[in-house]
Amino acid sequence: MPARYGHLDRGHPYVKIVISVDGVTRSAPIVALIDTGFSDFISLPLIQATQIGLKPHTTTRYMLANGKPTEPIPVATGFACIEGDTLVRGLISISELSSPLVGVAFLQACRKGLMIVAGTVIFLPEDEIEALQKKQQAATKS
Amino acid sequence: MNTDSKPVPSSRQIAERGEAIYKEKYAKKLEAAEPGKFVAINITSEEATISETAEAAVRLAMEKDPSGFFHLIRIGKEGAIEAGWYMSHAR
Repeated sequence: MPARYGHLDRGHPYVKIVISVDGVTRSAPIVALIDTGFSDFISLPLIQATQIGLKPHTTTRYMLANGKPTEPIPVATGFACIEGDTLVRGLISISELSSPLVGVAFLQACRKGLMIVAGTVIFLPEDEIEALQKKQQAATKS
Repeated sequence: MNTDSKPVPSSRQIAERGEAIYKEKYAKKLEAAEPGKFVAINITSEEATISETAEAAVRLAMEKDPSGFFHLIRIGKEGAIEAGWYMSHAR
């Protein structure tokens, strides 16, 4: 899987993702904020979730930064990926937020490492990062 | 929510039922034995499905009951998912 790219907007990293209800039919690209403090997969505003056809079957509570739990949030199972990649499965929460979010579970499921270098948002495949680590370790030993 | 012929509960009803089942049947045992893992509570069968990840707990619970409704809990925590800065401040 090649490296993928996002963009910065006023210092915040964004990426184009696609979502699928069934793992086959893909949505149009959606621009999502990357929030590394968000531990789940994806959070979608209600309108987008409805347009895509997500059907929630689960609820959960999120823990806010102030240490308080949220009201129950509906959650659906779905598939998503960075535009151009292979779809992976995850939980998609349906929120009152105005912007779609991707979290750490999304990066893990996509097997991507996030780097922000010289104003560019880069998603490197995990195997490339592991190869770099091994190369660096070998260079340190010799 | 799933439709079929069953009445569709609200998010609040699912969560409150799931939390009541968890507290009554599972909290004491799981908080001692499986802290930090995720549990999906089926609000009809009252079955608990435990896994290391939120996605796996829900997926395995749905494999057992594809038309079920579930409440996801992180064992020993008030919230299952860390919301992060944006979600905490944009609400």
